[in-house]
Amino acid sequence: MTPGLLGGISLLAALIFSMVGLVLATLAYTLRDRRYLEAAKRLSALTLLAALLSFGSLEWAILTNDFSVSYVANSSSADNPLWVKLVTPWAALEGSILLWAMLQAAYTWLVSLRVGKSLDIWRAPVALGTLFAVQVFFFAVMVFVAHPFDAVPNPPQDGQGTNPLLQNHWMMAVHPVLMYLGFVGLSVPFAYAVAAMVAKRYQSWIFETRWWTLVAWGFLTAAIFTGKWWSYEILGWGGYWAWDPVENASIIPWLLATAFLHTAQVQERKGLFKGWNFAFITLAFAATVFGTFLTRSGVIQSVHAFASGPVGAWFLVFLLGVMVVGLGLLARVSSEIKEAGEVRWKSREGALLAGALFFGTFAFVVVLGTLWPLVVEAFSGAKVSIGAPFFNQISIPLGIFMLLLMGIGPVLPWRNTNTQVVRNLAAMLVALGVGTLLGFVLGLSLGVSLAIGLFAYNLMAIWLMVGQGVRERVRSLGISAGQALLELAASNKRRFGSHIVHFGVALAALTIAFSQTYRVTEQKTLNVGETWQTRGMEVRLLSIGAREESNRFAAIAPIEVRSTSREGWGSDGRYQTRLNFYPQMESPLATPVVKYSLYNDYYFVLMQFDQENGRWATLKIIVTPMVWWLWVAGLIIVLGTLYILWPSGAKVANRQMSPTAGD
Amino acid sequence: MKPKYIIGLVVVAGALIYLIFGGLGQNLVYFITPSEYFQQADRYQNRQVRLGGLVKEGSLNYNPQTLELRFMVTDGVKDIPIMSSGSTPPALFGENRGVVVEGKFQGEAFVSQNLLVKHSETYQAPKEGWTPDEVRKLIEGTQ
Repeated sequence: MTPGLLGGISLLAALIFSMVGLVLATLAYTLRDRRYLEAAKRLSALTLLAALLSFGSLEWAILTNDFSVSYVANSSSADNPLWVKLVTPWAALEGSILLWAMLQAAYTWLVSLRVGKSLDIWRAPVALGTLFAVQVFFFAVMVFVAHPFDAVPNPPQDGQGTNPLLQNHWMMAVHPVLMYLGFVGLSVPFAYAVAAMVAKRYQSWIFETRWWTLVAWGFLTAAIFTGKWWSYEILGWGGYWAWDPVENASIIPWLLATAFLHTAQVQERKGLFKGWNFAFITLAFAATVFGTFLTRSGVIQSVHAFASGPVGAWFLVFLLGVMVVGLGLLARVSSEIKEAGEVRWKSREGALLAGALFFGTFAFVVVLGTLWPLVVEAFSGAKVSIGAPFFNQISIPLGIFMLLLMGIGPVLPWRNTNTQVVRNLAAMLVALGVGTLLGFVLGLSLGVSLAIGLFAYNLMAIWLMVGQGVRERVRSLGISAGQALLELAASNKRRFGSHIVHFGVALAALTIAFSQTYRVTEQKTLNVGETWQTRGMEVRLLSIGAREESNRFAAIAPIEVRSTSREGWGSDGRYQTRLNFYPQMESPLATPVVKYSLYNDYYFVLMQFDQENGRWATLKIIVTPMVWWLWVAGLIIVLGTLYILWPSGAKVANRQMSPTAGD
Repeated sequence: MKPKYIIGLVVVAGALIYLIFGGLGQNLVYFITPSEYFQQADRYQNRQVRLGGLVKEGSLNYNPQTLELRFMVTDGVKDIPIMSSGSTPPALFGENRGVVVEGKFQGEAFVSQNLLVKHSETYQAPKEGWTPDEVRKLIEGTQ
């Protein structure tokens, strides 16, 4: 059997299994029969097997250079190195959808394991049915419009190759997979929400859904940060975020999921905000589909080289379906989930709702900015685009509000404020003032000074909260402060983890303010051997050489950099700036060399060189402060999320500690 | 809900609407071709625009020492001289190829801050005798 045949058959099998699963889940719901539910569970495992087989066939075809398979002929090449071949399945449209569908099948299977545990007989069929329906969509798209395994009648000698932008950096192996894990992961909370609304059980779904959402959110966060890192490390423009539609597509679901994570806590404790939670989670999942539609339909042009194809219309229909189901159900049950109590703004639930509303507004503004060119074109016929200035202008005030709320929220108690809280808030405001003033004294700009103030303010909030917990423990149990801190961290992982995440967010905001404000770019053409004094550095072009690699040809211009003043501190070293030439592209692709230091990042790009005699080369140097810390912040956020999700360790530690603590 | 919250909400919503629509109006960047520029030249003076067209054959002039890049953008009917300094021609940039230049008109010349070229390997060169409309269609894919 050939990989193409096996892949096609298993794909068809996955579609049929998903359809049967959907029918069985429907029967289980209407007949209230547990046997159908058990059968549906088994089908979710079968679908996963079929999807894995199909994905494996694609890898097999790529690794064995089987150019009779359309996807391999279009998107791979025999000369690609092994790691590029391994990641080629998600380098183009059909393969990405296959990866998506496979992950979807995996999530559905994981959910099926919860049947009989947290998912009761009333909700389980609906949740599984929803996920099967989503799966039917993805497998149907592949079988009918974006089939990866079409047979090529006259297989070519070699494939057309993989998009060079995608094989220029190993991040290709990481970022897209994380993104899909996050996107697909949001289908589970959606399924739980639909199940809760259909079964009219409005409270019990929230506990486990928060957990699932946090998993997806963690993947999305990791994906967004790795995406920034990738963009910074390879695209050669020295930035990490450009408000490109593709980037917006990833941030919109993230914002909505963040909103949900905040209001979900209020529902868990107080039973409030049920309507908001259903709405946020529906919109978050819809946003993942919307993002895919945007980037795959060609409606909005983007610098990202995604192939547009006939799948756009399918995704639009699917998007409408998700919105109609989610919001339609919400409209139907809205009278039953009226809030029992009133929300006081000066309480934690008030701050959480305000925060969630800001996240929701932010998401709305990003959608609006992304779609606005279409609106203008529809009304006036003019072709317009909305640049980064619009998004920056909006996101700065919103970001400041969010950072303020992020500090206040956790400090405020549930229900209402008291005097201790007022003292804490006063301390935080002092930190805000002192930090901002410090920025001014150092001669920094208003925005950056404010960012320092907000960082100090959030740090103070975390310090006060952790400090109080530790002091109480030390006083009542008579243990050391260090042990008290460890016990506190282990006993309330959610709260402690959220401190870690919030710290990461505050740090990220600080680094964004610094790096966006103080970035400088210098460019110069140097002769071989010439030195260039710029920005506290002495840059010497050593030579210009060439190197042949299996899938590309590279021009390499080694440079030597010495720092001459404080401004260029940490830039010393020898760097191989290079331009990569790929056979599929006529022009070269610049690959920057980045040297991180504790404050500045030095970014060296070979822009051009003398192709005839190798006498000169044009170099670009971008100096950006604190970008390294942005990656650290991303790591802290992801680790904080992991800390909250980590299942067993803390419970064990808790049990071990309690006897000694009791003595 | 108490009246003071409603007032608060209205203030917040108003501020947002102002930010969004004020911001959108100022930050709209029109995408035009050389012919469209000459129809309404005043409208586009000193305003950020994206000018799309082809790099005219024989007009490309790049000095690597001073990093000055000059070329003509054409849509087959009208030409506009482009002046770009302190940058190097990006990948896939060349004569008879589509380009979108972002920048401002200063008098008759266009000073560019940013050259956009589609990062795609499936680019097709325009054929002889194309009309401005066809050129525009080609370039819009580049925006």
